[in-house]
Amino acid sequence: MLLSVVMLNCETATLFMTKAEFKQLNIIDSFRLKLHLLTCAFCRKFKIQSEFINHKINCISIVDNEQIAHHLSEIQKNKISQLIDNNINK
Amino acid sequence: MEPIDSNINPKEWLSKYGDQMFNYAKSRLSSFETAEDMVQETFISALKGFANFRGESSEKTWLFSILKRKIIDYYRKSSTKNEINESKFELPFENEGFFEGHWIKDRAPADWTFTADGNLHQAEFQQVMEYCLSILPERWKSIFIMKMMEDVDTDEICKDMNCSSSNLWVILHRARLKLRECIEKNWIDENN
Repeated sequence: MLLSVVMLNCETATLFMTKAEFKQLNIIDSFRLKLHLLTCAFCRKFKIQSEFINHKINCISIVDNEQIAHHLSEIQKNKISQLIDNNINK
Repeated sequence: MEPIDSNINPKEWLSKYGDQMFNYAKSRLSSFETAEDMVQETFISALKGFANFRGESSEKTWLFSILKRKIIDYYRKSSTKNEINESKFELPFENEGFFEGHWIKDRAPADWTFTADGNLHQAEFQQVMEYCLSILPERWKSIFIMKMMEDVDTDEICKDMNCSSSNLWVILHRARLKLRECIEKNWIDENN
């Protein structure tokens, strides 16, 4: 009975991991999460993967030109360029 | 309209930042057209506000902050008009029995160890990520992008999206679970 109170299941543990990225968990929940991670290999993988996804998401924002996945087409560039010219000349 | 700072020339914005801004917008918006519109609108807003630009941040930072604001506004507006379809996602956890709440074995996280080999290309990842984001329910996608990609304050998102903070964590959690699974299927498995 006590064990089921202390031990989190994976669903709650992964929810706590998501929450912990933005706000500090209270001491009890933080302890329960640590304990769960010690015993659950899947959740340890989930944690690593979440960190990896976060890192990759951050990289999307700061990519250099060689790493860019999408480029404006020439037609789009001409359209925008014309728009800028028109607005500068106003 | 004459530039205040002689180093700043709006005519160069497109060649200097156009692709990066379009890429940034496309990574957060499913449609090419919407991403293009956002870049276009950003340049128009920047030209209008150019006289007030004091040069406290770099020209690039300033342009991206305008773009970022436009994307957040887009999600604020779109999330109110799109239908919510959140119930179809089945969680990857057992829902009954002794193992209730524990990972269903064939949906549990696999090893992504090859990622350490440096085989992963940012552009390739971005395309998979965009696909995986596009299949999220609209409300989840809006919340995920605002919080995870644009770092909008939790209270602000809750106010805009009309949800409690505990509901927000649940949505972020579910969006993360779905994204993780989708990335594993479409990127990790493809590369292994």
